[in-house]
Amino acid sequence: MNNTQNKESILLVMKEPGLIETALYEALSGMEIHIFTAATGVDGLSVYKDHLPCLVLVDNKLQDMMGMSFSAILKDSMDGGTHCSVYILGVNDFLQNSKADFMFPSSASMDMLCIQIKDYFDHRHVMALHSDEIERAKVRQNERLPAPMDEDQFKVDIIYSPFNELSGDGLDYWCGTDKENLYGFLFDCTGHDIVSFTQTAEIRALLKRGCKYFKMGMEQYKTLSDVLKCMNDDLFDLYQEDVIPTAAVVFALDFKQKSLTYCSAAIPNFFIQYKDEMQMKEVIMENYPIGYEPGVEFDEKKISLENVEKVIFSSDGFSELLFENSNGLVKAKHDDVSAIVIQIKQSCP
Amino acid sequence: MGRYVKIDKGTAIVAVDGGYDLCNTVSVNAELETAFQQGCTKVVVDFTNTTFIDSSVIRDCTKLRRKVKPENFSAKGAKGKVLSALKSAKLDAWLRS
Repeated sequence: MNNTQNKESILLVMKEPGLIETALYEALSGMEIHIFTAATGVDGLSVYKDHLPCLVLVDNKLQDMMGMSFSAILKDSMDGGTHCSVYILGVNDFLQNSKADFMFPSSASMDMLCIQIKDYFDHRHVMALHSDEIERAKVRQNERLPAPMDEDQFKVDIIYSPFNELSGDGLDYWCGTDKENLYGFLFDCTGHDIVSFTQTAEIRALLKRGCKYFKMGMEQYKTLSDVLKCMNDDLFDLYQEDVIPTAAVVFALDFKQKSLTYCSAAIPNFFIQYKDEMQMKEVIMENYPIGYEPGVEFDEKKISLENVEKVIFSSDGFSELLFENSNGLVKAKHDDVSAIVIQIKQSCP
Repeated sequence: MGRYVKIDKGTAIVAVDGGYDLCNTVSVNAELETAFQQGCTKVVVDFTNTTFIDSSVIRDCTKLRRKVKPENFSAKGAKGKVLSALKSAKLDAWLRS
């Protein structure tokens, strides 16, 4: 390899590449693209292996084989041929199974060839930028995840696995100053695409604000029901009919009182592991999603933490995978997966 | 008319066999747009042969309900996992027949 290793490159396989090489360097100036050449099909396969160009231009009438045969060999080779594009030039007769990405007839002009290749690299550049954006968003997504906690009375960890790179789920938790309380929320912006992901930052901010006001005991936020109700009203104030529905659950554990208070908005269930019981118990929740209709109420519930060893809050993408056999599943994973796993160390007297 | 949406006297009837999720909501929405352009003002989502729905269906149905107004939107045939998913979001009120 040489200093062209990090550049995009083209391989020209033809007896006399001079004219095309000059025209391409001119057309692609500013794109930092290197051009390799090979005179025959056999040499071309060797040069391809050495440099792995992203685009191969091959004359259909090579000295040793047809360009279409060269294409078919390269594309199925073990050297990554499926990852490059092959354009065949000077095509008059069509052969089946060439596996070429594009064919230019003999009558095609040099200008036409240059424009097509410029468009090819421009498209690759746009796709690379898009990939970079996704990568940056994934970093931001990971930065928002809370760190595991391990205190005297409890331990908290998470499970977080987007359906495909970016998740519409979000979660957070934190404890009170005396470590006697644990607060948290988990939400699932409906869908699991880029639309859902872009919504997560706002939902997280509104939930965090509501929970903070609840912890402070502010007038409008006396209960967890109030937290979700205020958030629902805020979203309708902001977006009216364009609100996208979101499922969420907010919770507060009081280790002194041994109680768990929770309020759901279309998160269907959560799970409790009791001491000396083999199976986890599923607790069903029924409430509208946030952003479904203005003015709806959300029911808050409270249960005892006596004999409780573990509590799992999760999005339906996770709960629908739990305790299912293969007959009950359509896909191995069909949605964003996220869960908060709370282990209670001193749950019973 | 389409793979997922049929029209019956001004009503677009959505029916997805098997899993109804993000993979087919794009096609369903495109077919619904065509139905609206052809004058449909009501939507019925028929879950009779649907075995599973994900949250993108909840999102799209909610948006559809707003678009055509609640009185012109309904669902039917939900059972099993689909019915459970609707009930957990209190959306089983969509089921009218």
